[in-house]
Amino acid sequence: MRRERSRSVEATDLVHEAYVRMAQDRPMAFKNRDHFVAIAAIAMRRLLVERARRRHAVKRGGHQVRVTLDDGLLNDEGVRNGVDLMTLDQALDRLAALDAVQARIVELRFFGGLSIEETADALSLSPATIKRHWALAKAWLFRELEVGWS
Amino acid sequence: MSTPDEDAGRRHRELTRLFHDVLEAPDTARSALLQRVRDEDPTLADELTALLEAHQRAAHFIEVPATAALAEAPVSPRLQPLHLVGPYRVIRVAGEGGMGVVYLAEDTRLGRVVALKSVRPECAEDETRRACLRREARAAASLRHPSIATVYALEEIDDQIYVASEFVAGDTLRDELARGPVSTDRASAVALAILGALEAAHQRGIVHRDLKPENIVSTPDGTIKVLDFGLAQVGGDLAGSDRLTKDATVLGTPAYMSPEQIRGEPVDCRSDLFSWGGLVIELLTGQHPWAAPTTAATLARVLEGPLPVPSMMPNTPPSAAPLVEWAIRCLARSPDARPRSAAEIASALSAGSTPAGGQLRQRRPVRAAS
Repeated sequence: MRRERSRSVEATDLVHEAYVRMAQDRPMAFKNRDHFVAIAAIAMRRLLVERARRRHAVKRGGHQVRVTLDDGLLNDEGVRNGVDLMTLDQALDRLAALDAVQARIVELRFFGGLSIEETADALSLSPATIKRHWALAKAWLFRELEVGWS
Repeated sequence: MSTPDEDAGRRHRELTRLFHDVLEAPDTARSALLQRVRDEDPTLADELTALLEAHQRAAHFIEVPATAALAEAPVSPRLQPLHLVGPYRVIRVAGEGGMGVVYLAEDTRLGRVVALKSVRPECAEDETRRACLRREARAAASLRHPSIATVYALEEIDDQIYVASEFVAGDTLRDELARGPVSTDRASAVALAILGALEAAHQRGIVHRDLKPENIVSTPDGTIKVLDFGLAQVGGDLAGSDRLTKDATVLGTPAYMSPEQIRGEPVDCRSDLFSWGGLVIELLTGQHPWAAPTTAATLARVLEGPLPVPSMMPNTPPSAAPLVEWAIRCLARSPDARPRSAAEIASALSAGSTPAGGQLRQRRPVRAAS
């Protein structure tokens, strides 16, 4: 029987948008695959955060209201996790000021969707180092987001 | 003298180091370690304790990548079996396509079973989009080919647009690939059938734009049918629209998208040939040349990854050589370096010949109608 068919048509939009951003930001050719992947993760981050911001502005008439990824975009898992993209974005900037590598790891893992191993390749670090930094960064951000809510 | 930023950075590094020291210490040594930190710097110890505590509760936090979460977005509401939509009676849900839910339904006027696709409201919310949809459906309905699922009608019922088309029962190539690579004979037969469908569509200026294993069905009698000709444009037409992603944005694999498609440039028939090339390699090897676990990595490969070469396919028999070479030729990043048409490939394959070496062909390709 015909199975559930892939729904990648709409994906075209996000992919285009991410690509256009990358091309605008860095008009020169990407140095290599890792470089490209790293830039793609940044583009995805901006794209998703801006999208959340736009929707929030439209919905709430510009009032400061938390907008989470689950807002029509996330699955149940995400709803439970309740990740607030805009707050996460700001917290990530603060983390970058403290430790740029930890912030990059979060960018690549969460926004770029890279595995521990791929992140290790992209940053030329060992998977063990990535794992350690990832654990710390997660705990740190988790706490920042919690503090921000109270 | 150090700046406040440097101090904060140093403190964070210290915190990182202690965090791991504690996590990696045996259970019995942890409290002693924490106590030592507390004796030296109570504030740092407080921060460390808070972080360790957050670590316990953050196990699932941001573990699902933002992009993967998008792929599992909720689907649109579905019509129940026996529900009547105009003259169509819903039999059951057949799947979820790029445009919306696909139903198996009966056209009660003709007693004919059809695939009824409900077009997402976002795809048809203003007159410009509706006009585009009608144009696309009309073009698609003009296609009659044994390897193309026929579009019957575009219906506008209660402000909702539906596309009725031939219902094709059978396994998709994705189902077939789940069992591994196919034989050379099978790959050749499928590849030629798809080329036939592409040739017929391209002659009428219709570009598929979303050719992939999920869109190709093999019927029980062995016929290959390409689904959704021309209808991908309906989704593509929405590029840049924020509305589209409101409800159920999905991030699938862009492995089958041509480089020009990824860049958002106009596409012509050669974009379909690119998709065909990747599909053929996948049929023969069981693996798409640019498949990667994530969207970003796949994008990188499509745009910059090494082109497949025959030596990378040691398990492919020599008889597959012409097919492999034409497929690789179609995967050229520049459309100008690809074959001109599906017909050219089909006739060469039927004659068993490989592509002529090296020369770029610059003849004008068939353009998409738009």
